Amino acid sequence: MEDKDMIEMRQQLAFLREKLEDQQIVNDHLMRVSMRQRSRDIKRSEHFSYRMAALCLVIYPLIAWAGVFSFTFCTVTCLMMLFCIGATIYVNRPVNRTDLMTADLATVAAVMKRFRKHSYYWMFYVTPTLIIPWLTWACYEFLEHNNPNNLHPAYIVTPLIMGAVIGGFIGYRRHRTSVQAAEDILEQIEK
Amino acid sequence: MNNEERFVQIVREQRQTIYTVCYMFAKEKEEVDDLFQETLINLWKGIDAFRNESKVSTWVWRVALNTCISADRKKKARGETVPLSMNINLYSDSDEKSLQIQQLHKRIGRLGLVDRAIILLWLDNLSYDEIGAIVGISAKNVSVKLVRIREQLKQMSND
Repeated sequence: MEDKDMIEMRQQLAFLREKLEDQQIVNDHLMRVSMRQRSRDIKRSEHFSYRMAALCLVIYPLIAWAGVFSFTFCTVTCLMMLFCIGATIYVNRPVNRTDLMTADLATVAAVMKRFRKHSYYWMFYVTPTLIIPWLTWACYEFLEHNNPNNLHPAYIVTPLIMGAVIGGFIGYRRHRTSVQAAEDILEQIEK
Repeated sequence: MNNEERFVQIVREQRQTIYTVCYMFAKEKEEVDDLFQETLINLWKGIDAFRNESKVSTWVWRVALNTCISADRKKKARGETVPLSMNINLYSDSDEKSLQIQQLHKRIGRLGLVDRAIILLWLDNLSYDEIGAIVGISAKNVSVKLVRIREQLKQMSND
């Protein structure tokens, strides 16, 4: 039978291991706090998308009513916006559902990888597929409805293109910010 | 799994063992940190040669103990003195458990380096064979040494 001293020492070693375990939890907690802060960039981009889409849903009926664009074009644009809202929800839902403070790191990594992949597809495949035909149609519509003096099409279309470029730049910046946040979280987990 | 991933996994899983050894062989926080880093370097250097012939935990114990023992020996050879301080974060708390840990540190710290290694392994519930494999002595020798160490510890607590 082990003597009292040895039992006590074993207990003391167990306390030490317990303390070290707590230490690890503290480090893990700090990492998770940092991850949560980075995930706010993803949420900000998501909310920005919703705000922009909601704005379009309000403005385009008014534009149709004012006769700047045709009713069909405005309807299609509104449907496109609804599709974008749906897609944004679909891409962001796993990120929103994951509690970064408690979920295991493998799950967080999988969610972030999925988010990164879907964001990439959205930016480089879906967006051009939607934007190029929409912009072409918008230019055509704008020329049809807003050129009574038969000005050169370039005068009419250029502001529209410039608006699209500025909008695209802002959108791309938002996309980069949220993807970078996901990459930072993944890098932190891998480290 | 490449070496880097393997290394990260081993360190993550065996972090407590590495830290415990470093802590028991150190006298202040900076020393613990130095030993911890040195152990990690030695684990990294040895990961190529480690072929899973023994258990990962056995290998980690061996590397950590060798690092801490040889680091201490080098210090002695250089004639340096390390102030006996309890200025270690783990020990700075004054709750009951921390005081118990301090007591363990004090008890083990009085032993010789190899004895310290043997008692640590034994307290961590390793078998005599495993202790022997890590320290490089026979299981029989481990049991003989343990009897002596326990007597020594008992005597110390009576003093």
